[in-house]
Amino acid sequence: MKARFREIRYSLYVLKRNRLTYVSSLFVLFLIFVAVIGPLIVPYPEDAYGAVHPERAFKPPSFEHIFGTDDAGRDIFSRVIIGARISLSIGVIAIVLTVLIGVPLGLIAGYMGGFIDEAIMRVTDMFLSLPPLLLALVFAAVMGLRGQSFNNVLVAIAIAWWPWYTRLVRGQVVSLKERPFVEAAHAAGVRPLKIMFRHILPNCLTPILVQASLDFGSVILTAAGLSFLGLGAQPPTPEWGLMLSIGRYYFLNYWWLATFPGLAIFVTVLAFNLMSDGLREALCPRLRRF
Amino acid sequence: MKGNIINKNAVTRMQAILIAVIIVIAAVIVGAYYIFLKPAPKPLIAVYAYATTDVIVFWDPSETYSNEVVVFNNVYEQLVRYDPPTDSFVPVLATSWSVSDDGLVYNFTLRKGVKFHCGHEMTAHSVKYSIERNMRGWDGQGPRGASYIWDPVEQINVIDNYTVQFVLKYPASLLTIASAAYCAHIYCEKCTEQYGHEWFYEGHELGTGPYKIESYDKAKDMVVLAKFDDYWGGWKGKHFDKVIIKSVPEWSTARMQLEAGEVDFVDRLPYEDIAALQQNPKIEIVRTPAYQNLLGFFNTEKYPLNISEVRKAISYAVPYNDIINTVMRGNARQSKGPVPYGLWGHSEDLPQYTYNLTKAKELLRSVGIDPDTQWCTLIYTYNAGDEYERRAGELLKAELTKIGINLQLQGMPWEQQWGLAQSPNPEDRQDIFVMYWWPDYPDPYTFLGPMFHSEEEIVFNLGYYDNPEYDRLIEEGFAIAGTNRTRAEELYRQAQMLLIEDCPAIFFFDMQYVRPKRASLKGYVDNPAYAHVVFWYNCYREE
Amino acid sequence: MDFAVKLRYFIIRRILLSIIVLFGVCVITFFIARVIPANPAAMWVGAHPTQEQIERAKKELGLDQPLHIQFLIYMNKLLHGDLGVSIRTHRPVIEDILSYLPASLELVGTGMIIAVIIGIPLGVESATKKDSWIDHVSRLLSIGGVSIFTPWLGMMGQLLFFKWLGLLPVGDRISTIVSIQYPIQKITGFYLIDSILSGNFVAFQDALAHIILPALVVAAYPMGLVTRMIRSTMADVLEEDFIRTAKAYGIPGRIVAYKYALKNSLGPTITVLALSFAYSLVETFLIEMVFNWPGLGRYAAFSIISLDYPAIMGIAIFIAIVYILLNLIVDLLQAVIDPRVRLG
Repeated sequence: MKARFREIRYSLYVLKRNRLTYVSSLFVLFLIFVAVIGPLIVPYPEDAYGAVHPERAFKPPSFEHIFGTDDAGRDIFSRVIIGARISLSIGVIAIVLTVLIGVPLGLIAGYMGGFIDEAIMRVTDMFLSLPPLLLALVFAAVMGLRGQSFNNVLVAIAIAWWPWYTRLVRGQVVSLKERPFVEAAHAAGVRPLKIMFRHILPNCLTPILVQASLDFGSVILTAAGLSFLGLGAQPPTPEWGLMLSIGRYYFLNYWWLATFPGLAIFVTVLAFNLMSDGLREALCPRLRRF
Repeated sequence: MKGNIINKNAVTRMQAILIAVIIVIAAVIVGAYYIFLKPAPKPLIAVYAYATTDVIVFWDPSETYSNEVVVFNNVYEQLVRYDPPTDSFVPVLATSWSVSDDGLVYNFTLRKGVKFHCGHEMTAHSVKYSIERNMRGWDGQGPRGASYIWDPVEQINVIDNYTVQFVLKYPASLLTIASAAYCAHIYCEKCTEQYGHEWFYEGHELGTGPYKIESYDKAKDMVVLAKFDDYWGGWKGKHFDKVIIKSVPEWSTARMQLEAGEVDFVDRLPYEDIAALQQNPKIEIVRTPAYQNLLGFFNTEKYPLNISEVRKAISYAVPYNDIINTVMRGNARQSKGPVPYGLWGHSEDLPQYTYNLTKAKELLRSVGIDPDTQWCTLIYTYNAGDEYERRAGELLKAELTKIGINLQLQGMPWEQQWGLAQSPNPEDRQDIFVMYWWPDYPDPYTFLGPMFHSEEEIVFNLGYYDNPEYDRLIEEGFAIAGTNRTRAEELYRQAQMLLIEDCPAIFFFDMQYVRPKRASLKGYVDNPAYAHVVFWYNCYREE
Repeated sequence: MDFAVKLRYFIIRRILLSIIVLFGVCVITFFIARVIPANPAAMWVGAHPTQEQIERAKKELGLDQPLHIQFLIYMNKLLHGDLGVSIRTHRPVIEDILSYLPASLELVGTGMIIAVIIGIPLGVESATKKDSWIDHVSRLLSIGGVSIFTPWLGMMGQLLFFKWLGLLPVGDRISTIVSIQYPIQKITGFYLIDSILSGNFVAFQDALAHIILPALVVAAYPMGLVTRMIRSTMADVLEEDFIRTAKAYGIPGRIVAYKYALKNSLGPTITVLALSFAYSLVETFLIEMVFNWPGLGRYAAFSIISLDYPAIMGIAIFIAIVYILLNLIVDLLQAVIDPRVRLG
């Protein structure tokens, strides 16, 4: 327990040390804050979910509408801010799902070894030999037959990304397996399941968490990519990728429809990536994405 | 000191590389700019930017049913063509015709001296062969593509080399069928017999039209048409030597090319771009009423849309004017029934629903529903990527909230949308199905029949409407259309009254075709019976 | 020799595993694309099909057979190099893929070259001058590169260079008039190379103007990767003893950096680049859509959205093969070059 606390304090220290990491961490906190209180602070909260004002369509940025209005006269600033919660929650849920699939598989593969290990790793390889965006796209398209929604995107992303975690965890497990504390537990007759989850897993947590935070940005980009193609969030949801995809029809005439949602995506992903990169630098420099 | 490891030169090698790279990129950009300043020489080549992918899908004229219609109507010809402004048929490969009194026998006199691109001459045998092959399918397995339109034909007889006779099973408007944009083309029987179906797919064609296909580049998705010297119409006057029909699915690219003068004609652009182009003196916008409309089918087999008052209430809640003015920018008019404006069979005196929330609420209350509470959720499916359908949906959603309905929008690719509508269990299907419709040939039956005639297997009657009285009216109308147009119109009118009363769909609007083209392109007339087709033979360029 | 035997064993094992993996890919994509059909028979027929036409199309496409038979038929065709016929374009999938491949290769290749030209010097500078301002800038740029939503970057580029400055075209690979009047001879399929080889400078300038913007957008992600990889591996290598020895001997820093440290860092960087290349052939579909670039990515996106299952499977198998092959080659090269790599 004390070790865990120390680790957390160390992580916080690491975050503060590098100027860039520090600033981006603060920005991440700010983003989360904005996402949470979003609907309370925006000037036109009703615009995020279904209000339309056709008479105000396509107005350029001004004092009343900082980011201008879209094709149905909705305030883009309000929609971008409220869209933050959607993007952030997609990121969190998708990563959680991915971890829930990938980590146990990696634990089992690494600990059991032998044929199970081979089988799981082969399947992992199969999924790894296809670009994750392509996989996510195929799954989202197929699952969307009864209609698209977030859930498809979340599951599609999880299906496409779990292999990385399985590989990562397996590697960790294989090296930890030989350690004395594991052998001791085994000798003491502790059941394998328990060994995996209560003894080995806590020691892998750091790389998993660091990888997850590294992936957060990429997940948001993948989700935006899916929405951009029309899979996932449906209009009039103020999801950034969807706003960008709709904005594409009009942006050469009305530049503000596409610029701001895309900027929001960039800024968010950048902040998360900078922060998690700093974490990685200090905590697990061995971790590589590819 | 020797220990000074990192050599701090004034210009380090890396910096030098970076500078070099920047210079190269800048030089290239400047060079590219100059290329655009270079005046493009004006050969007699016209370019058509077609807003789709895959310019040619089906090469065999007996099964065409897709984008290639734009190419084929310049390469192949029909017996007659339909001219909407005069509501009459123009002789093309047939010069005159006669109909028996019972409407079952048609005799066509064919034009003499018409050559196919392969060199053979067109005769009555060509006509008989082409149409029969369309009817039985190139593999003998039955009609493909749009060739089902020939269903009324019992037999085709060759009277002499230039006279051909059609005997029908039941009376039908054969002229209309013979003028269709798809599957009504005449092609060389000798070469088809010799080379067969696969040969077409190698990129060959056997038409009589003014242009031949010179080349088709799959990777660039572009067809080059070249003038057919032996065309029966001759080449006096001004014509284009070559025409390029190119697929440009991105409207921004199409618009750029139009403004730069690289492209002469674009078949469609978003209305916002049209509004901007209106100011450009080098661009002309051609507007024509189209035979295309937008409908929103109600799932009449599922609660609550199985109640006609609910359907009517929703029809009173549609913000027709907002949709037409904001979304369509005035390039549409509210529909009067399912037959679009400009096509015979359209009745101007049919009633319309208008935007009236009070009436909508009254209707709901009359069946015991309280419109001031949220009492149901409906699913509105539309073609993903279609901005007009989406925006209309969003405007509709805002209005339906006011009568207590939560409308959920679902954009899907056409195949998925259609697949969902065909689910065996009505409860699994959507509530409102939105789609455009346009005709296979210029006859009101193609609107009234496929979409509203009762069906055993779901194809296009996506409101699942089942009314025997309606079926009877349109069947009668169809049979009599060839011989007694007036009576047919009356029957169709009654049928449409039933549709408006029963309300199986929202009749949103009838569209206009809005075509941006270079002002220097002359001779273009939009014929809605041949959607998106430019008859290049009639066009020429004049600065 | 022990090494040769080990190598052979390694190669054989890898190839066998790759085949198994490839087979698995076939199974997965087949069942995904076919288990929940969306009426591909109707798509095959055309605009307003009738019920009988749909039924007939089903028989033609073999859709009325039970699933496992369809799979066997498919695998059989596959072994003969037949990837089936696309439902959307009615052309053999392999033909479609091969016709769109050069465009994608050219785009991704150009993007990678730009990425490397910018990324390597940047990475080296920031590794040698750790924690200086250039290190921070490079870190920002490299993480920025992988954080950017590429279609957005493309659109902003179009806005700036096409709409506001009027310098570059908005999309496509070449202008229509140029492609008719100065057609590019097909030697390699790459417009830039072919136009130079045939002395067609007008077309070269035009093709270059069209490729710059999308290539820059494509370059963003790999540039970020390259900079990071070079920086981190070089930073590691620079700590090593042999570097310190070289410096102690008075070998100038620049030579030390490039000759010794960079060479060691290139290995993992090339691995990363090669694999990201395989992915990029398809992952650039977002960029291809924005720029109307006639490449494999755009074809893949259209196929997936219209659930054109033969095309989806063809693309998946194709990419998997490329990826696996590249993986294999890279591993082999590393094994040959660096004997420290375990071959077991």
